[in-house]
Amino acid sequence: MSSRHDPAAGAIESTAHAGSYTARIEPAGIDIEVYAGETLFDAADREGYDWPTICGGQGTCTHCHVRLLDGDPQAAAPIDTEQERRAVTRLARRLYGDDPTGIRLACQLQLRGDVVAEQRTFRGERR
Amino acid sequence: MTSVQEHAAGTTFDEVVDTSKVPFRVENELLIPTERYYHETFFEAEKKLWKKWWQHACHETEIPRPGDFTEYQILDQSIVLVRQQDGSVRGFHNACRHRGTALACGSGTFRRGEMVCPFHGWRWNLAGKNTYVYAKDGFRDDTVEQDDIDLPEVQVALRWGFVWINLDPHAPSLEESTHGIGAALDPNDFERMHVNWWHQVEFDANWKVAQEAFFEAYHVMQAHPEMACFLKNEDFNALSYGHYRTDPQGHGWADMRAPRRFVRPGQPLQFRKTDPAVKTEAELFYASAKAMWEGSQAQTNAHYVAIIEQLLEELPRPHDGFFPEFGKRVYRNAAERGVRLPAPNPDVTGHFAMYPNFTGVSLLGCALVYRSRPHPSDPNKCIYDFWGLEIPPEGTPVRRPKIAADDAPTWDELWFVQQDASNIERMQTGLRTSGLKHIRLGVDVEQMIINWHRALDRELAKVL
Repeated sequence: MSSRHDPAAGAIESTAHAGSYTARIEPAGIDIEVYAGETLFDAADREGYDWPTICGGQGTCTHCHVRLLDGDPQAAAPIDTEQERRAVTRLARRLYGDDPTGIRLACQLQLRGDVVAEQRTFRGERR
Repeated sequence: MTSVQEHAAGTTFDEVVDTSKVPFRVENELLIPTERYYHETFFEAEKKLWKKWWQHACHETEIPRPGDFTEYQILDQSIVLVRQQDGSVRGFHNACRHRGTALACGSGTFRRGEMVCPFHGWRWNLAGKNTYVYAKDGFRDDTVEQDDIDLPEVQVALRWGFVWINLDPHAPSLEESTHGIGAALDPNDFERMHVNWWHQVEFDANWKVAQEAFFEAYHVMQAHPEMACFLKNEDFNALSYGHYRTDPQGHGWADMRAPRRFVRPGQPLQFRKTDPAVKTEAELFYASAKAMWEGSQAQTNAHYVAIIEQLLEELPRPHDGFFPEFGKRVYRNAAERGVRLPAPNPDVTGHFAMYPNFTGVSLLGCALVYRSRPHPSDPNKCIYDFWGLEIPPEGTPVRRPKIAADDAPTWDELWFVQQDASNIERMQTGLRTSGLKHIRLGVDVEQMIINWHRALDRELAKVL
């Protein structure tokens, strides 16, 4: 099928990152570099890790979730979808004694600073 | 009954089409039967054409990075547009090949380069090739052959910053379907514009009623009094807006060089909007820009309005030399802001109606464009999108546009757009009254509507 993209046209510009942050993932003990504007899930994928997921990063399965353990509370961009808010509530109830503190979906999580995060099932598996 | 199309340039278009099978066909091109705007029979006939028309499915910046997707709906059809690794875009019928689940809802990103069906986990790569069938051993081989479980594609083209699709694999290319109007649109440099704001509204009106509200400037005096400096009746001469070019494909665009078609003896070929002793061209230009900026946050910008205000002070009435100086200062101002404006081009149009449903106004790197789509089942409703576009300073990062984003002007703040919108539902009410059999159109000022319906009948005739 016909499809055309003229990079010179300029509507779609470089996606080069403006900065990057480090996510230390425990208990695997792995550091992942997360670019500004990128999700933790995408960063892990870019670095070749087989991050836990069933839905493929669509924010529905919750398997990718992390719990932020440490660091600047402003380091994670805030939740901005109702879908993630509901997922966090569900995870808190199922796994964390109804405490939603720090729970995020990696496939939705963007960073503004360095973080330490717990991912209970990930052991550094590669794709 | 045949329809022979007069070409704008004066040549005769030689396609002769028998339109006798078209319901509620246009027999007198200046009188459009009202049933075309609400009758189920006509609505059903039109549905056939949506499967053959090129239509813009999204703005390119909605899917800027590989894996980004957005869903486009037209009538009961759902298409998913996916940005590819090489920057191209592919479009697929949005249905899992297993049991039909829509693979995309709204907009988002297919991560890890794959689409995953949320129901049973079948997977496809971004090119639509099936890469995984869960528990494939449970399916008989002849029901899961590779070709049959890959996603069927639709035609896709990228132009003017939008992604265009066509559901008909045999349809002529977008280039071919828009060759008449293309040269008038290209110099606007739409492909370098970003979306400043986007609103989507549902009107209780037929999709054609809604878009035809923007097919002419005849309504300016009554509907946009600020824009017309509150000049009343013939003091603001609508015939100055009677210069349109049209082509047999249904497209139309404003061009002040285009001759009027209907000139009474003794009339000038071109009219001024008003007597310059009452309002100069510069003063009218200012009123227009100020209304558009304040009430639509599009079509112009605060910089241009400020430049006009400064010039009106510097150049006393009758403001001689205003327009050349305005041009110079606009380009200088843009350069200072790092904005690369479109090069001046005498062929550029600032107002267009591209067949079937893309309409807009554009000036010096600022634009307001519209898309009208029919409601899936009700001819008396439509879905209407408005985009405020502008060429940003070079290097401005792309932001994925959202409908009614937090930093967008609210729908209520867009009073200039509201002035147009307010008439749309009233038209639908009137069109359905049994006492109104047809609407009537001004030869030149509403030429884009006339030409559009001629094209529609020719196309309907081919599919009925």
